[in-house]
This record gives sequence, C-alpha cells and structure tokens, in this order.
Amino acid sequence: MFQDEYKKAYNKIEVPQLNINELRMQAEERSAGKKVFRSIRLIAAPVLSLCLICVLIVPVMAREFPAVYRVIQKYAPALAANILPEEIQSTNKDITLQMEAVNIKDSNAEIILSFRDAEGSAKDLIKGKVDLYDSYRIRNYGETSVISGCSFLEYDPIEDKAYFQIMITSDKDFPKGKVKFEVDQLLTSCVEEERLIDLTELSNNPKEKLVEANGVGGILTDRSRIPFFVGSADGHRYTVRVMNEVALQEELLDDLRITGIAYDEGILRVQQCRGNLENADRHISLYMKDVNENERIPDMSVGWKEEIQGQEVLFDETWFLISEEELRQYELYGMFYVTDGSLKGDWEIVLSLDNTQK
Amino acid sequence: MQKKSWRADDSLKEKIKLYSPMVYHLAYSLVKNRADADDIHQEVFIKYISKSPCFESAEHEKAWLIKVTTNQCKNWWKAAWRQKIVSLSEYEEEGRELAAPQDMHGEEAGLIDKVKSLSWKYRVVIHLYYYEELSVEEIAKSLELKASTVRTHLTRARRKLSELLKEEV
Repeated sequence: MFQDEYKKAYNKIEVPQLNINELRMQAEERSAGKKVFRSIRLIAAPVLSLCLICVLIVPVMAREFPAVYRVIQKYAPALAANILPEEIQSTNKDITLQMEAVNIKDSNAEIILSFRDAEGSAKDLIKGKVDLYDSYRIRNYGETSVISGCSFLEYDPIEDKAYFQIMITSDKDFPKGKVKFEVDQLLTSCVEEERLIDLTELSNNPKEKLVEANGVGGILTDRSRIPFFVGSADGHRYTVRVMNEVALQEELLDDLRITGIAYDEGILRVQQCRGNLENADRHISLYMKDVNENERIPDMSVGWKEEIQGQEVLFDETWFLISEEELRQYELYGMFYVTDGSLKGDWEIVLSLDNTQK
Repeated sequence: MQKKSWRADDSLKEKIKLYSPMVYHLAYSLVKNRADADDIHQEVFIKYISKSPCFESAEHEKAWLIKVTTNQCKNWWKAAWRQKIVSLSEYEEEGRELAAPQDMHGEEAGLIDKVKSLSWKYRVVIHLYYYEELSVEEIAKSLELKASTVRTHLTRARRKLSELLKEEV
C-alpha cells in the first residue's frame, strides 16, 4: 500500500543531530541585529558609476535591440553569449514559463512552451486554458529574417501545465541564432459556455440610436442589403442604426450579455455588450441551428464603443438576413467566451536555435 | 485568554528531539537534496528559539512548525538565482539532484523520486497526509488554505501518482 511504502521510505532517512548551543548562538546574533556598514570613497564613486553605466547599458541595448546584439555577436561572440545567455525557464508572480521542446527542420522551428504554477507557490493560478492576450513578443537575434506566431495547444490537468506552440519560419535554413520569447500579461481563467438564446419575445420595432461603427465584418459583402447603414464620411467608418434598449450603466463594465434582440425589416438583430476589455476578453459567437442541426452563421456584424464611467465598453450588433418563415425553423445559440483572471508580469526565455546541434 | 508557553515547562532539547524528524522529513520532501533540507531544518529551529512564540497546545505548536518549514522551503525556491536564470547544464543537474539519497536503493528510492516529481502543492499535501497522517482540516490550517483546496490538491496528486506508480494510492 502506498502509505506504508512511503512511510517506510522516509523513516529510513536519517535525521541529522542539531547542536543546540550553535542554534542558540545564531538565534542570539539574529536578535541583536548586527549590521556591517561599508563606506565608499568619494574619489572612486564617479569612476565606479561610469563603469557601471557602461556595463549596464550595453547589455540592455543588446537585449532590447537585436541589431545591436548582432553587431556584438559578429565581433565579440563570447561577450554576446554572456549578454544574452540561454534561459529556458522564467518565474514571476508565482507562475513559471518553461521551454519544453525544440524541433528544427530546414527553415522551420517549432518550440513547445508551458506555463505552470511556480514551485513553492500555494496558489492555483494555472488550472485550465491560458490566453496570452496578444501580450507576447518574439524577438529574433539570428542572422535570418523570420516570421513567427504563438498559439495555445492544450491544458494538461495531470501535469497541471498549459502548453503553447511557437512556430518560426525563416527565409533560409536555420544556421545559428537566438530567439527571445516575452510575455507581460496572462489571462488565466478561460470559460466557454454554449447557451440557447430566447427568441419567443422578439421586438419588431426596437428603440434605436446612431453610432460610429469601428469595425464591420461577416460573410455578406454587399452592405446595401442591410438597411441599418446610414452613411460613411470616408469609406472606412460607417454611421449605423443600432438598437438602444439598455441604459449605459456601471454593471455593463465587467459583463458579457445580450443587450437587445429584435426581428426588423427582414433581419434578426442581436446586440451584445462585451464590457471593458482592458484586462479581459469577452465575446459571444452567435449562430442558428435547425432541428436537423444545420447551422447558420451571421451575415454581418458591426462593433462600436461607448463610454461608461470613463471606461471604454465594446458593443457588437449582429445581423441574420432571414425570412419570418425560416426563422421559425431555427433556434439561436451563443457561445459565451469569458477570459479573465488578468495577471501582469514579466516572463521571458531565451532559446538557442542552433540547427547544427539539434 | 492567557496563552501558556509550553516551552516554559519543557526543555528545548526535548522539543527538538520530538519535532526534528517531522521538520526534516517535510523539508526533504519539498526541496532538492539533503544539504538543502539540512539548512532548512536548522533554520526552522533557529526561528523557534529566536521568536519564542507561545502555543495554546501541542497541536498549535506542531502547526506552527509545519508552517515555518513550508515557508522556509518556499523562500528557498524563490531565491533569485534559482528563479531567473537556469542554464541548460544546471537544468540537467536538477534532475539528478532530485533523486533519493545515495544510501537508498530500489523501490524506496524510486517512490521518493516519483513523489518529488510532483509539483510543490501536491508534494506538500501528500507528505502531510500520508506521512504525518494529518487530517484535511489540519493540513488546511497549517498551510492557511481552504479545506476544499487541500482536497482538490490531494485528489489531483493521487491521480498523478497513480499514473506514475500504476497502482491505487
């Protein structure tokens, strides 16, 4: 049985004897709080400061600007190795970022990274999907030009790690080079939930207001089929009629909800409030399904911003072009995505992509 | 309520003899090797002597020692040079250092290695539950966690260990 074997194993570990007199002496020294002061000579201080500035600035510039690093690497490779040493693990704010594996083939490199709760931490921050919230940067210190991207792979509940993949494609085969991956914000709580949205009490004459849309999207490209577009001053930003069914109140700041739903002029209109997205990401993906599980996605949607208590709040209005008869055959669903648990920090790892050694 | 100092009645030597194995084994389960466990073992009793806390009961005293030991182990892990920069060669050495003591062989060494391969939060509850035989509530009180959190950690730790050991834990 595990417990018996575990106890037996630990009982065999000999416990060292402690010298009580030594313990008392050390305890007394700590209590007395002795300090040692060292004086710095005035004449050496400016010289020392200047040396420190040179020693500190050059490495910082090399780490921040890959072009500087490449110059140093070309003429003083040993110095360059010290300025940007390989660091395959980084811990900050009770979370550890770690390199798990690197695979280089020809001009492609694949790097697998993980985030986990740091050793010694009692917090349970990594417990599911993690979103890097576009807060990451990939810096290339090699000689080739590269394009790169990062994506979430999976959360392993046994390992208690969230895995990510970085793909780097170079313009030629990887000779030697270093890559730095930096993250300064994580969203550690990602929740997805599918909900049925009630269509039984659809308004056919909702209150409306005019807004400046800052984004338009959808499978329908012909805007003339949507009667809610009023006009455009520059061809990029559009004035749009949207529903105005809810008051702009504080509770909308941190919420994801449907704020209007109507069937009007042959179009099903669904409006959502996404709240303030400074430290979170919230959105509802809308779609319709009939009894045979056939799905319909929206034809078009617009987004705009409102201000509530000095903070920016995002709204979307989504449109389905659908006849009344067809509408009766469908149900409306929303996949609610809420990603929050924002944690700002400083994680960075430096990897050597030396193809000759892989 | 007037708190009674238990150490006023019992000698320091007796206390160290009583709690030394608990402190040392807990430290060893949480850090990398015996040398580090030795340091933490000593540090805990230096604090015990210098702070001279008053305890309401033996259970209170034991919980205090567990808390101080886990905090010392956490501080050990948080030391900056271990945290920020880990070179590839040191990383490879860590795997070796996590191994059981040289004088232990076979299944016992393997068992210790496997428990040490768990993450921190799982190692600590496994040790306190199975070796010190504390209840979930006692563990929660010692580590200043919710009892539900301790139960979750125990469940996940057992699951992970079952995978590693291929047997019921």
